[in-house]
Amino acid sequence: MSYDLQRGADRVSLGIVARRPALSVAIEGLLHQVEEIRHGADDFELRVDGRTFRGRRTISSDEIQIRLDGQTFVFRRLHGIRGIDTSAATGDEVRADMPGTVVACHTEAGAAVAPGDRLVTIESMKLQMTVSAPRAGTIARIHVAENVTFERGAVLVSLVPIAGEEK
Amino acid sequence: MILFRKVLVANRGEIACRVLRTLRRLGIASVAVYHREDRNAPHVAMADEAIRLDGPVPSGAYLDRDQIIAACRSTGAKAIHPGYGFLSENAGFAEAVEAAGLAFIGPGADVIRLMGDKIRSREFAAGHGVPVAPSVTEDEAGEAFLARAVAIGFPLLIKASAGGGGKGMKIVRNTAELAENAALARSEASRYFGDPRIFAERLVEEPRHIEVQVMGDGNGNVVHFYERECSLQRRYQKIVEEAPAPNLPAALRDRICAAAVRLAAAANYRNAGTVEFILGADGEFYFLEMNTRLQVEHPVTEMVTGIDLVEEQIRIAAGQGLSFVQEQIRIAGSAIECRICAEEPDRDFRPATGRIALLDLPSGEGIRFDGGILAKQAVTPAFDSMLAKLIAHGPSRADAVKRLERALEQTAVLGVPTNLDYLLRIVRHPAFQTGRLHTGFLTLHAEDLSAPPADSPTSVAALIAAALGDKAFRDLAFGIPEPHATIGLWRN
Amino acid sequence: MAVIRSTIDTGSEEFRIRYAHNKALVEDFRRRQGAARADRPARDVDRVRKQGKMLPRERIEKLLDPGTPFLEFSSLAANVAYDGEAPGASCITGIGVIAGREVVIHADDSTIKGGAWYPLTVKKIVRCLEVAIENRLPVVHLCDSAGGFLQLQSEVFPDKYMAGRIFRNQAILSKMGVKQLALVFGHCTAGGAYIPALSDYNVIVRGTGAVFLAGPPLVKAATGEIVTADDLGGADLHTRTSGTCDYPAATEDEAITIGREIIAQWEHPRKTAVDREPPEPPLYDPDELYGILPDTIKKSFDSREVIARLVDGSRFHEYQPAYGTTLICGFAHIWGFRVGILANNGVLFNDSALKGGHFIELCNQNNTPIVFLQNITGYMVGQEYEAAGITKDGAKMIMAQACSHVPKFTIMCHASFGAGNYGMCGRAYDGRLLFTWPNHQIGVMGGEQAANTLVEVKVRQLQRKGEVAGDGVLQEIHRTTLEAYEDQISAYHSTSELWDDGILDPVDTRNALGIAISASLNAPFGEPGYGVFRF
Repeated sequence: MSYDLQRGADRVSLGIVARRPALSVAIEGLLHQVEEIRHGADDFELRVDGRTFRGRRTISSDEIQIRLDGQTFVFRRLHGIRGIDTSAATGDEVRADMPGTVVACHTEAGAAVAPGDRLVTIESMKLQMTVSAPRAGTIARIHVAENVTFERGAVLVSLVPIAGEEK
Repeated sequence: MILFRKVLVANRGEIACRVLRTLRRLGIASVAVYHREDRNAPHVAMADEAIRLDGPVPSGAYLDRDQIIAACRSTGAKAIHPGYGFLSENAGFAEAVEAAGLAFIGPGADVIRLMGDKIRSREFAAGHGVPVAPSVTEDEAGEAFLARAVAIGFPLLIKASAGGGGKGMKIVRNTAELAENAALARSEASRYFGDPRIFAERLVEEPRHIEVQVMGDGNGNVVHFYERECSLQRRYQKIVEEAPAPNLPAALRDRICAAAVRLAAAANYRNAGTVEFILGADGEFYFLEMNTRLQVEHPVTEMVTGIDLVEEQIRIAAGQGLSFVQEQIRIAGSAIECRICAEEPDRDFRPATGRIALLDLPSGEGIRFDGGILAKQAVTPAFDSMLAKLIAHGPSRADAVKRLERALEQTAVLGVPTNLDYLLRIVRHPAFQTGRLHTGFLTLHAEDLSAPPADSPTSVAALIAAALGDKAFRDLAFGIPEPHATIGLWRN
Repeated sequence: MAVIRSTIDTGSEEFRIRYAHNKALVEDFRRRQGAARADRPARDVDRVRKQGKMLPRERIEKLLDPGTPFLEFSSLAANVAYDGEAPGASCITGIGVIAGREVVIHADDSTIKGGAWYPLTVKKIVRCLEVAIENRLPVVHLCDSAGGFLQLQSEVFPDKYMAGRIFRNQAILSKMGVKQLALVFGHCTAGGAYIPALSDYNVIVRGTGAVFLAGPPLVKAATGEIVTADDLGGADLHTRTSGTCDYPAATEDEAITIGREIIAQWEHPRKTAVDREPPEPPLYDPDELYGILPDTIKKSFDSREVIARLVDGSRFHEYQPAYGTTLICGFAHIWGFRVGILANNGVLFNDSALKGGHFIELCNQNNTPIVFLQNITGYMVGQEYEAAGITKDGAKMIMAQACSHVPKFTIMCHASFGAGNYGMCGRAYDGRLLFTWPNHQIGVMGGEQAANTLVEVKVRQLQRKGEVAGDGVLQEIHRTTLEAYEDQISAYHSTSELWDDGILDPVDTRNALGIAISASLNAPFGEPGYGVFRF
């Protein structure tokens, strides 16, 4: 397992090579000896390769910013940041998971959709739910209309791959 | 000695805070105005009273003269300090304020109008013996234009009369090139602006931007507070200014300051103003424009003269006249100001936004920080990108540079991109340290001033510090049981 | 605790000869191991690459915490069997650290016959699950196998410790509350399908991962149904419809990331509390082990010299130093863990057997794990020793050893012949882990003795028929017996058959024991208790 950060356009790996007697980290082929002296809420003190660095640090959900020796550094966090994959490489048909009634259609034939785009709002068991695009594509046809009632498994929307794209 | 009982500050950000500080020191009650988006801004908290300005556009609220004058009425403020920007050079506003029986802390509307008109102000200056860059405008007789252009002397800049933004501009260095370039410029002028007329003016190469701080009583009495060098500009915006101008011969300084005083006196100038000049390497200087307000960079003058210019503005507006005669105004040491802006110098100074997650302010001898920002504050595109000004004063320019460098290192603004690193690279540049300044400085040294490569010990340490700030990395580094952590990478 | 004073002269001719001999043995071991790990037909590697899959060792490296050890088991399993067709027995097993937790890893190797399970593959997987059960270590399965190797199905399928034992062990682990995670990178066919199904958590890679009882060809043969692997048992079928799999992953990397996240949710084990000292490397360089181990099976060495190169600070508290001197007993620390060590220093006599039995009881009383360093040619034989009760004294030692409740670890250092193997915690005695050094030999008796015994038997057979064997015939019997026997007793044969948990370079022994002892503390020690000692 490696730990990566995004620096500008590059992805930089920090490889932990050893932890004793000191943390030893490989960055772009070079080994660095690291000793953490202070780990504060918004500041830090480190010894890297024998040199002491004292600086300031802020962490947000996607970025870590460092102010050190009159320089500001911005890194994007990559580790552990990923979307939950609930998409499936489905076919061209978006089907109803349960019987219900169409409340609204949010798209039209010919429209390009991205994964997660709202297609149809349906109501079933007193609850309104959004049916989203499972993948990118172009709407071939909407098979239902407002107030139409459908059964479980009914095709609601058909997709075709966006022109010029191979599935 | 009666000054105003209460003064309204019609501005926001660092300048509002700066004016409020002087009001407090002078024992004058203060009123701030603010737009909803600024409700947590420091100027609102600093003032004795704060009045909300309504309006859909935040910057528009601070331009709403009726609401501001109404705020004076409702609070009983007797005078308005406009700061810089917004309504500070709006003659109509100055008139409206005075018509409302209030004092406008600034010059009269006539002078604002005169100096706000590029052509009239230039003619006014020329008419009072202030040098303006020689130029000729093309009339119907094309041949005569070329001859008159040659008479100005080379190098020449040929521009479209109707144009701007550098389109159709040509630099001509000798007679041989003139006709051809004029024809080319004419055709481009015609194409871009629908008007083929062109004009030529003396090109000042590697020009310096020198300006003189003046103060007048409105009765023809004017003093100057010496000059400021404002040559370091990006996108025609100053970012580093200093006083006095480095490497400026004393005789030349005297001539420039005298010209500024001459202009202001001729206009019966009242209150604080700044006369801007272009200075060529040959020692020739030309009038550029006069700003009829307090300048962003006024603190460097305050630091070297020890005079609070806002206090002097208030005294003049209150009818007390000038506090000083020229001989009393002396310069001690050197002061440099940096403008800290929310922008990305490595991406063509694109304005940046975000929330200030962490703010460290500098301190130390000779350090002044004029800011209007707070930690956790959002920086939005609604206002100017300037967040604060850092000013360093020292007994010599070298001392000021050293103090500025240290203060910039101390300063931290995280959460929103700023030009702090860029400013530090400027201040550390040898050409800056030796004072070899001109308006092309940032372009000429662009390569030296660009972001350093990422393999320096500092950037490696920053990368490691960033990782050590991330729980995911800490778990990997410190969450390993023994003896595995000590054994380390081992395969049997 | 006293430091062992080494008497080894590293400048001596004998040291030099022994060093060269053992170093060459280790180099041969490394060469065989390297080949077993990496030598694959380009065609098979290309196929894996074309599918966008990682090689099994790449997956393991990505899964492990960076800069942490991986104690691999039986890297040369099946190195002799099947004409070497299934290097490493087509799978990788071992103990590593993921998200700060010690886990057992089992990874199929689809670059060998599509990851099909040979009999020894099954034995190796069963063994690693046994390690998981005994040490209560969570298991991560990296599934990518075509199923049982049909040509050898009779040796894969029916018996108690064959394939069914894999799933039995999985069920037992889950019942014990020991977690299992399966990452389905490739196919899990037939029995293999139960690995993810019996894991508490599983992740399946879209496109390449599939789980089914019968693959498309078998389905077609059985019912005529024509179906793709993905439709039959792919990620979407199992994570959306059947519920057989929990998490779909777009790529192998994502599966690994999800897997690490899952493990990070697992409660940290409450390990058995034992006294620990700050670890300290041995005073003497373990590299000198090569110069200490003999260059032939007949030569001996002082096992204190070996202990001095395994234990912390080379410190050793020797028990009964003057009694039963052919068995060295005492306390020491390995990676800070206190251990009791029993190391052979000659033939086991009555007194050494009694001393060993007593010391084992002391370790049990003191909750101290035991390390056995085997270099044994047997218990002493002969009328004098039988009369003194050598058999019942050996039985006492076996009783004490077999009934120990503390974790036991065995290193096969040089020789393991006869009943000495039993007393010193041979494979049959449920040691937590057992490793072999490359110079080691193991058998019911030495090669020379076996050959002589067989010649003797032959002579008597012929005598009963009234014949006399010529010297040439007897020499031939002696020679062929010896040759066959030498192959059988070698470390490579032993490890091929999984009579151990792998061959170790002697210098790696200290780390291996540190990891093994640490792993053993995941399980409680239980209460001491013995059967009837024959006094």
